[in-house]
Amino acid sequence: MNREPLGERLPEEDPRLIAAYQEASTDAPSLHTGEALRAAARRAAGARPQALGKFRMAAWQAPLAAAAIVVLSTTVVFWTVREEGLDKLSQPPSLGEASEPGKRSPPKITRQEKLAAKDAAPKPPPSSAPVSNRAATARSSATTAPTKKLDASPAAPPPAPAPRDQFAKEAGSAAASERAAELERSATERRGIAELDKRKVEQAQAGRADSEQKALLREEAPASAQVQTAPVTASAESQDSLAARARAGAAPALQDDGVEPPKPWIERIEHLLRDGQKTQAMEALVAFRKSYPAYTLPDALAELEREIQEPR
Amino acid sequence: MPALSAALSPGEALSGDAVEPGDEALMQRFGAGDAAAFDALYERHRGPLYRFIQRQCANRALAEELFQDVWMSLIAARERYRHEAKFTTYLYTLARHRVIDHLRRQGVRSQIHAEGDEDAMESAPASTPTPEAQLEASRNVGRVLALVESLPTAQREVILLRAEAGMSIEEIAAVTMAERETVKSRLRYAMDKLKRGMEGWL
Repeated sequence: MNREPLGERLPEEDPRLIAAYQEASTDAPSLHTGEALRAAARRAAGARPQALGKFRMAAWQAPLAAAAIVVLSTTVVFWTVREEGLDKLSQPPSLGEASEPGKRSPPKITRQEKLAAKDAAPKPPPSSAPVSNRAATARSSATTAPTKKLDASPAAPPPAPAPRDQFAKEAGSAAASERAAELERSATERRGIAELDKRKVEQAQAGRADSEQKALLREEAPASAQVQTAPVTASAESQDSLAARARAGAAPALQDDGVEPPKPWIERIEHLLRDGQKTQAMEALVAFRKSYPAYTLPDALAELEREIQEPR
Repeated sequence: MPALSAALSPGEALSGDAVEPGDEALMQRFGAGDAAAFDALYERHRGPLYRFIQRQCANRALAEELFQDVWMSLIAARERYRHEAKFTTYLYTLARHRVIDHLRRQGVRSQIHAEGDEDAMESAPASTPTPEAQLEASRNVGRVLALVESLPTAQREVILLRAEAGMSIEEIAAVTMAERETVKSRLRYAMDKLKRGMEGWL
């Protein structure tokens, strides 16, 4: 905002006049213009590749890390809950038999046992019945004769106390048959659940493939339109710049920003001038000035520029 | 002060008690992606540059537009800026070219330069003061502004570069692409006219 100090006083100037002018001249650009220019400068400075690499990376790394943590945690919790649910399903319901004397509660079935039972069990016929019904059916069909005898026993009066070895034998065979039935029942349930899961996955995959195909179809139309229009724009731009270059002389090697370096350009203009092609030299100089407004010209070209500005 | 300034490294300037980066250093920092350097440059030069443009086109809206164009050119050329010339010379050369382009479009090209013929310049009709300028001239403080605006373009730009940008004869010669003696001559003519116009006021 402040003026540059005048420094050494010139003999041609009157300091009172300069001071009077400076006192009177206090206009300034609007704040809006200043804000717009500052914003443009910030955009231009921020668009540099160096700044992008350093700053923008840091900006998106933290949210990305947070999102990854959330997704991973949710997945882990989901799978844990799902596994627990499966384990609960596979455990036998309490039949109240454990409280009976001589009968022990069924041991917890391990994962290895479940898998073994799955392999050993025959495949059930395909059915759309609910899992609970199927489980009940499996339970009833899997019950063997000794189990039936046991099942019927609650209705009958309690048996007379048997000798010790006979009781142990009966209890052992009942437990074994019950364990086998449990194994088969859990295997059937697992198969049913696995089948349901498989069906859901297949449905989801089919849906995703369908939506992807639709998205691809949607994307193809604008992309092809872009491919058709892009060369036209590019060729129009390149034609303009080529025309400008042709007016200025032969095609030069360009800088990274598409502008010819000043020295060879100047040499080319000087060459035109030496060859007597003054009009071409003038046109080339005008084009040069647009790209390098503050470049200090050699004497001959400075003379030519004055001539352009003030034709005699 | 000049001796102290000479001891500073290039691109640094002395301001008050602290050493502030010079315009050239700021421009190079801006070219390297430092937006704050632009803010500092803008703050330093916005007033004088704006007035340099406004006194030549005598239209506030147009002056804002040209002023904005100049800074946008500077932003666009930030990576091409080389420490070949003083920053103010570079900035005011850009501004001068914008003003000349505008005047040329307005069809007042003949007024831009009559170099080599100072008598012709002297006798050339001064641009008619705008109603805005005439109103200002009615006040004491505005009289000098009206007189400056009524100077021929070549003389006016020399006065403005001296009074607003604080440029030396050599720097004015570099911006206006004129000989040193020509600049001195224009300054003398302009001063004479201003003195005559301000007789009895100073």
